[in-house]
Amino acid sequence: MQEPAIKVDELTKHFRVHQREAGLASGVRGFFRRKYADVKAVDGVSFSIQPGEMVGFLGPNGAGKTTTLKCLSGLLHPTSGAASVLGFTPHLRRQEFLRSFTLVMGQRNQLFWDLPAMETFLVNQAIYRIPEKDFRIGLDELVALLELSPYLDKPVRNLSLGERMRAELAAALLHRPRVLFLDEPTLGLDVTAAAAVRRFLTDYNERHQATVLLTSHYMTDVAELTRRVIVIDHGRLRFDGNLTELIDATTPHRIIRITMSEPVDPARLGEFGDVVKTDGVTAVLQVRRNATKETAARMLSELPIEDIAIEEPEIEEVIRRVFAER
Amino acid sequence: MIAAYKALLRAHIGIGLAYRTRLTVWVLTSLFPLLLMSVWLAVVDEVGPANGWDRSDFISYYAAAALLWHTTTSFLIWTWDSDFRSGDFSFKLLKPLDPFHQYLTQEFGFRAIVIVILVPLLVGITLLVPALHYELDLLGWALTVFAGLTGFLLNVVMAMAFATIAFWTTQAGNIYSLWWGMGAFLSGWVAPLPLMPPIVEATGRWMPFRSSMGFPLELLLGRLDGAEIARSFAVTAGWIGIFLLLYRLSWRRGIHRYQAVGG
Repeated sequence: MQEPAIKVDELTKHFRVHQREAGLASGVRGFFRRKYADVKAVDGVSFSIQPGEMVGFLGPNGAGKTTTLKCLSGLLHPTSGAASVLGFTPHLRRQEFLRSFTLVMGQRNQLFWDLPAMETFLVNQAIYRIPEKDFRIGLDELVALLELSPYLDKPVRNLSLGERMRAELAAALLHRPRVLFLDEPTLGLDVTAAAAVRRFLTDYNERHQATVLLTSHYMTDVAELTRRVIVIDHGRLRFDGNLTELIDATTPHRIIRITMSEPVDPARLGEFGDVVKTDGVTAVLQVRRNATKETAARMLSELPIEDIAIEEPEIEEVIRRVFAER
Repeated sequence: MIAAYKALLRAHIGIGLAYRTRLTVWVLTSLFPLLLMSVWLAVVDEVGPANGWDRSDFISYYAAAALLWHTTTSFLIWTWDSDFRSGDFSFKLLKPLDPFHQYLTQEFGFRAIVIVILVPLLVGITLLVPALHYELDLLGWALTVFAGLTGFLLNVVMAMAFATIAFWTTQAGNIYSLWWGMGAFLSGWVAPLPLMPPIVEATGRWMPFRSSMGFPLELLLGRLDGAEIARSFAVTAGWIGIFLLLYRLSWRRGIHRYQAVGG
């Protein structure tokens, strides 16, 4: 068994936050007597990730995902518990550790705003001490994969969100990090740009066997990029396992879509499962997961079926259910 | 490290040059010391030379002060403050180069632009305005430049030490303003220190503020003897050491409290 690339053991991060209600009176009161509250952003989370794994890190807003990533990047010191990334303790911020990972935050970027992205690349080359030959090879590869060449000489402030995100990824990956923490890397991107970023990440993972921990609210990202997901909520671990296991555990049904050669009464369809919708000729039904095969076989023999498809529920629904159960 | 400094300096000079209007307005703030000069000239016209300082002395003093204001004043704490609130500080922390160097190169980059613009301007004015006189030998000029450089370094290190207060409160910039405001009277900025009351002058000579303003200016006017020059450099070096130590201590304790807000 390999050493995990990322190991988190009972990681806890609490913040002391100033509490203030709306209104002038509250403002004046707060000026003289401050009220603070302890917020448990991450509360005893444990997991480990093997080298080369791509893992989805899911949870609603405020669940503690970004705080966990910041602890793993060494930006935050944990209140208690331990974290290890490639054998390093992140918050000690050793030079070798800082050279071996990257953190990409979808809503922020490290690029020099008033300069072309190329300037940031050159600065990163110098700071990460990337030899000229490796830099050129890496840059050419990133520019080609991310289709960056038309934007390299434009000031970053003149780039679109999608162009900026691609340039940001290039800046973050020039030093060939072995661990990638990606916090909403496709946030705000259109469908094409998001797909390009996903393609690139899959390719990077395959080429360099990089370990990836990814947060995203877009389930397409999670479904396409990861097999394993870790779900947290209110700072606590809710699930850690395969995406399919999560689906099995939270949604006890599957979807059967049928097209029939003649209209069938909804009441008759109701004998096979819950009718989600029907126009007489086509129908969508929810059936119990463990009875899917048997129900589909019965439908084929008892209904005038022309076409039948068995589908898993939408992943958004799965996640909704996970958090609805809390 | 040298490669990182070169790359960062190039980038920060590029950023400084990105907005021509901003740069022009910034350079125009050089006029502030000239306003103070006009007050002193009015005094001299009314009551004669003040404590041995005549019109020519004040003109020479404040013309050079205009250059020093831009070359030695550090605005680092405001950048740091803004980075803390916006989350940009996190990007600096993520890089395998201490944020100290990243901020220092930023300060150097902006200063380099100002020097390129203001030094030829000041040389030109010196040649054209007969009242300006800087009669120094080569050693005098070298010492003045060195005093300006060490004064600038002291200002940067002092601002960095204050900036680490941001780990505890969001008011680091305001606290620094209070400190710097007090320093304005002790630095030679409001008035040359030799013209201040003896207690203020004596205090000013041991405080860190004079190192980047009064000390190089008095050197430039040839008003300091060897012993005073040596003592002033020692004071500057001492304060650089003190603020570096404070910065390191404060950083070590404060970094645990960093909340990485803004992203």
